[in-house]
Amino acid sequence: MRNKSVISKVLLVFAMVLAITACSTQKSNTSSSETSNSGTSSTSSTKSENNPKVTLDMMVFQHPSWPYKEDWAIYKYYEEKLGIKFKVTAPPSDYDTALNLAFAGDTPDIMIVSNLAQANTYGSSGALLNFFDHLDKLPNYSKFLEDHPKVKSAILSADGKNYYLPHYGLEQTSRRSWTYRDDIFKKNNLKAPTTWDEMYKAAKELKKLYPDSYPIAIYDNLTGLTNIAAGFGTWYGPYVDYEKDEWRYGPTEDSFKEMLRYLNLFYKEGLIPPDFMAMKRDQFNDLLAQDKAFIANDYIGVIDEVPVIIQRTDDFSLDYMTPPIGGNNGKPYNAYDGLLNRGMAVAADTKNLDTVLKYVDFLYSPEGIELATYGREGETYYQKDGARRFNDEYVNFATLRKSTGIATYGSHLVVDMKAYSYMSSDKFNKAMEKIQNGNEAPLQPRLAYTDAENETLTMKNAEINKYRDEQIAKFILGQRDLSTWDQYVSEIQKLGLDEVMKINEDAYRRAQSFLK
Amino acid sequence: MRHEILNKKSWIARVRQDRYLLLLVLPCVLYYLIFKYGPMLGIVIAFKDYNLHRGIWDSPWVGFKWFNHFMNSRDFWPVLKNTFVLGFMKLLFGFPAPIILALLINEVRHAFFRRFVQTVSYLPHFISNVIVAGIMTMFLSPRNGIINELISFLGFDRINFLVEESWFRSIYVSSEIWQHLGWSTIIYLAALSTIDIQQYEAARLDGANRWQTTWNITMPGIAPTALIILILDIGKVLEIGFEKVYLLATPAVYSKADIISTYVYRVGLSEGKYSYATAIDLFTGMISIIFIISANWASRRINGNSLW
Repeated sequence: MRNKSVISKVLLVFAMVLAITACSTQKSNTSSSETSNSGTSSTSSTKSENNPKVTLDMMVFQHPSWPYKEDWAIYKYYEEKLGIKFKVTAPPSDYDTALNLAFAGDTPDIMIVSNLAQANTYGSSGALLNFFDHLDKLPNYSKFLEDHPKVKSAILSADGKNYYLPHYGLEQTSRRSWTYRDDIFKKNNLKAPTTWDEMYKAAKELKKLYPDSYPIAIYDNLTGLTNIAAGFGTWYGPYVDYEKDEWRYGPTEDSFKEMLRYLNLFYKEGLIPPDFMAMKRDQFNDLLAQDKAFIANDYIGVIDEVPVIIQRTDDFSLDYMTPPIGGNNGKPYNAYDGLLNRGMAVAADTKNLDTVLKYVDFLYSPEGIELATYGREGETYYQKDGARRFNDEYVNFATLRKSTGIATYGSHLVVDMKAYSYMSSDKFNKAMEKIQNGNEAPLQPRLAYTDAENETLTMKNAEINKYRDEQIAKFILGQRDLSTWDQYVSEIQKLGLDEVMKINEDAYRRAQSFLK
Repeated sequence: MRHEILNKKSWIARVRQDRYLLLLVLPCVLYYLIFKYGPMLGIVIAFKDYNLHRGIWDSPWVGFKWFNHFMNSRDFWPVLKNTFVLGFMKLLFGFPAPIILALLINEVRHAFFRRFVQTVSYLPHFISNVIVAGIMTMFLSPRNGIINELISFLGFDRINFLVEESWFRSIYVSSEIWQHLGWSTIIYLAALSTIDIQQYEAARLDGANRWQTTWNITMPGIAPTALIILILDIGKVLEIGFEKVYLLATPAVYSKADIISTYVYRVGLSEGKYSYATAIDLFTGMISIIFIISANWASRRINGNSLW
């Protein structure tokens, strides 16, 4: 009797386990049947076009606002044009881990890498293709690099090889800039400040008019300093001074100290939010939405985006503000990162080398850029008064990307940004023009380090950056007095700054020698 | 001799007899072997210069290089000290809190109200750290945070909590207690329900008041549970989750808020130095083992209760 009940319990558990596994097998069954379905349909279409097709595995990073869709038109155009089909994997989250796993197992033919350093690490361990070995099959890419020497200097490995194909075009919209509430300024007869002294005066005035405001909005720890430093003629980290052709460390320069003096003053007088370091984008948007901030330091896209996000499109205006000049070395500059961090890479052991090279080279060719930018006439765009307009249902750039896959990772390397400018406001387009004409600090080089250099940099930078950020924060908050600046500088030097700077300098000279 | 044979036979017989029970426990054993003990082999990368593409076995051995790196790093002592102080404060205030709450809930006679309090108090346990950090940031904001509104209403100066290093530990520990208090109470409530009601009745007949029954019956009743929890908690002193500290810290409070896990993230993981990160974690694990063994030993010596 007792035995029986034990058996029945065991059976019950087994039944449950079976039920669960049955559920999961059923699931996997359906998914496999789906894939096989799509497989058969594609073979049938192959037959109908009489065009031998190669399928390439591609792993892409997907933006949450325009996630990868299998039926994106752009890939259909490539299939018809080049006879290349893509099997795209788009990990829903934690791309780097997914990519690492891909390297450990089946590496896809083409993949998006997160940055140059990652490409170089995998490249030097033999996992990625060195494109310079195949330039004979990449005529359009070669020409692109010839036409853009600055880009070429930012894509090399420490030994002058190239495992990383750059994206070109989209970086235009990810520019940092100063913006201001031109409507509020006009209403109160104020002029946009052009120096930090004028900025102080304007902020004081605004604080008087709107007592519970914090006129200048910066947020998210110290990230705002990157752009502010450029206006003071310095840099939030190591940088190359092109005029003197020497490497310098911004955070120990007098210009940097001058910047901290201003920020400390602004903090003390309540002209920047007291919790700017703990603030995230939401709180930043709130400040703008509630008319509690009037000058903002952020990405240039906020000019068009913020009014929509805060739902005040009719009584709210942000406009471009020329970067205020700070101190004696100051220039009206914003900081600019140049190229997007992500690039494209190809597995060294790809079985479809010729097809892969054909595809990536096509993406750099005039015809490929055209197709990647616009799609196909009559399907994604139409002609209107001699200009090309995307279909009306694509109300903005984001919708276009989301619906067609145009200008997403994997489907392009170069796009012509002029094609999309009519979708932005005039204000935004004018701002883009101004920022590119004299309001931008010279582009800093993107360096490639050897393994040994990387190891030293990781250890030293960890200590230097922690100390630097902690002290900079304290200077701004007034927890440390600026009269102790020299002590701070010598402390940073003690942490091995010279060594770090020498590595940067060496890497820079090395990269230049490859370009000659 | 005869005895031995009998024993052997009975061992096989016992397996036969309990085969269904053993079968039932098998998935659990497999789970631990596959998901807990198997990955432990990965610890070898702490002694290697691990390269993802080369894989674990082909990466070169480097001995104790990463351990030396960590112990000679300038951040070693501050980070260790911060972790220990934060963990110890959490233990000091976090350990008694659920016992007190459990005793209080236990004294509530109204069943509905009791269940209501219990449910409400353990809900925060299910909120993710990201949200909790967001709530804390908003509540503590010097601009419009509710706590600073209260402070200024009472006529004091507003406090910029998140950039004052002296506040960091209190903020972290109190948010931890708030988040996990109700959840940790559950086990004490379970222990309380095992105490024989007759003991209370007998005590009441003898004229004991509520305080006396709590002190003389309830407390000894949950003491063994409390002790085990304490031993386990001592083992966890150095294991402070990365998320919340990372989310609540601003550069201004690094000197108090940089702990082992944030250091591992900054120097190890975000730079792709998996070997270094593993070495540091292994080091922390060793210290935790020492802690838990000594706590267990002390407990056994003092009152005979222990984990093993």
